[in-house]
Amino acid sequence: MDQVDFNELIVSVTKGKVKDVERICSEMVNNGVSAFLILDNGLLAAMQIVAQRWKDGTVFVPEVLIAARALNVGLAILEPHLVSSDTKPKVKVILGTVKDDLHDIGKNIVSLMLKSHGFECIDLGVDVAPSKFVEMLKSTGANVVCMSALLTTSMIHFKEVIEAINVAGLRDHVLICVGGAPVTSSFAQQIGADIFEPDAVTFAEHLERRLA
Amino acid sequence: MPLDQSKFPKAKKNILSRDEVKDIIRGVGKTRPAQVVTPLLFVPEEQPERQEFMEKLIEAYPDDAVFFEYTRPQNFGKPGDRYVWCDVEGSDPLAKLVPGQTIGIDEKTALEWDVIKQITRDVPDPFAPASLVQNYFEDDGRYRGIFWTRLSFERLWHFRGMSNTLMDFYLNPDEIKDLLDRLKHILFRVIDRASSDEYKFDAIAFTDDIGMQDRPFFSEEIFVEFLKPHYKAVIDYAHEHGLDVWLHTCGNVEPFIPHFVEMGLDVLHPIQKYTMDEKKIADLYGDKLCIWAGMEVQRILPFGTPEDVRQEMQFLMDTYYKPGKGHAVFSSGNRLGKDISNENMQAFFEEMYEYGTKIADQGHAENHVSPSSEKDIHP
Repeated sequence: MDQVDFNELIVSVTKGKVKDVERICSEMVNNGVSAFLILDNGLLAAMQIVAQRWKDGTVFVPEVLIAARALNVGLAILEPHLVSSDTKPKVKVILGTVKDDLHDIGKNIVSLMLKSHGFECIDLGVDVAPSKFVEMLKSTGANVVCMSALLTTSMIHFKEVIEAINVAGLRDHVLICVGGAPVTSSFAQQIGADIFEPDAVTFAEHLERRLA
Repeated sequence: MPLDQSKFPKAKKNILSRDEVKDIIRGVGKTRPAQVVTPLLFVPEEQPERQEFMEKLIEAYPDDAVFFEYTRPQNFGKPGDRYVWCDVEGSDPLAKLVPGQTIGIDEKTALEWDVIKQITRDVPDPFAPASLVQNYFEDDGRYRGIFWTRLSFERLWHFRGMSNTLMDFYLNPDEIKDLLDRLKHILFRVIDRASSDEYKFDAIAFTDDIGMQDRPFFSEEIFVEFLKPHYKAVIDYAHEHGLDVWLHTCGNVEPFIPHFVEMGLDVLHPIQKYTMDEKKIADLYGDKLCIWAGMEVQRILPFGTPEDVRQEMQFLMDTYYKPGKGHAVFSSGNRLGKDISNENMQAFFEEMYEYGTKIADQGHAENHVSPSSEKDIHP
């Protein structure tokens, strides 16, 4: 199988060509190429290229979004074939914009990026109360929570969520991530969050590394 | 109409006249820099407990130019409605939510293209409402304009949702261009009415946030292909009708500023701190357009001390104001939120006037540094 050429698939993902990705993934699966190989050497390899371009500043949000969208289409084709005895279950991630804040653009982009890294995203929407975060952590068994805020007046609610997670006795099992335009790494540290990154691409990579 | 200072009995400042503000914008201003903290930047209904304090502060330090917020069309209406953004029956996503479901600003007005194509092409009609602006009052000698939001990209994503719009530049480019073409003609009608004898405004201000905290939303190529022709048509039309064009655009917009200059944009707000290097922007473009510098609202105004606020204002004025030329107007960078203390609010308005007067009187700016370069300011 090592002579399989993934180049066309990689280019199709980076350019967001959904139909091409769909076709190539289906053809490869039908030809007996391992779904794991297609995932690693095709889809994820493409996303690594996009992530590097993001870091280099040569692509912007539209290019990342269309690539992530194409990757997710490919992933849907591969998924039925990605089951084996040693397949790890997907890591569940809870996402939400905190109380008093309706800004969800950044959060939605984070969600799309996390899905393209193979995470299962449970999106609680906007204006989410601390008790709702805790309730969903308990009911889903997720061990990552991502909180977003755009307003300086709402980012203070991060702390309330963290306290509620403490009180519920979940703190040791939950990785707490915060993000949003006014958030800084010193603020994230001060409130006791585990991960802060300034953008969705860097964050998705960081989370993957952390859980590896 | 000449400016009558006696109309501002509680003012602790001499207010600038229309012509003095025009001179500042054109880079031949001989006065102190102007203060324009537009009505949009303090929203009383969000902070009712602060209304009295803010009213007194604004009476003491009135703006040197007045912007009237536009009469906002309804987002959704029915066929036959003339002042709505969408007149397609049953298209409001909010009406389709199930109980308990929340929807954020990304998608709360987002429509499919087949719905957008059904919208009557000349709706909303800017001549439909009784008044084009809210809380209108007669000319008092100050420079005056209309504040209209969502010039271009913001209006696109108001229709499509943000994530969709960003992908549409690749996936539905013709639809984007057609929508912008329709919106352009609506903005022409706004300018027709704003510049008519009914209002005789000096300016039209727009918002269009196209920058993020660390970079623009999209590439310069996308800006040039889709948005620049729309901006240019609107700016040209406004100029032909005697209106200056002011633009608020948040975030890092550095690659787009040369295009703003080329298109003849008159005033640019806010050069958001922590997203671009203020000194660099001032050096490169401060002679080419008027900077409407916005005091930073993510850290310094809410979490700094009154002394930090004063020092930041001094830094901003030293950076942007050109004695003998002007080319700088001062304000906050965005809405004045409820986490800004009254003391900081007071320091902000006082220093804007007092330090501006000082450097104008002495004929040169000084060399203050930003407090954020000396310490980490956060909650």
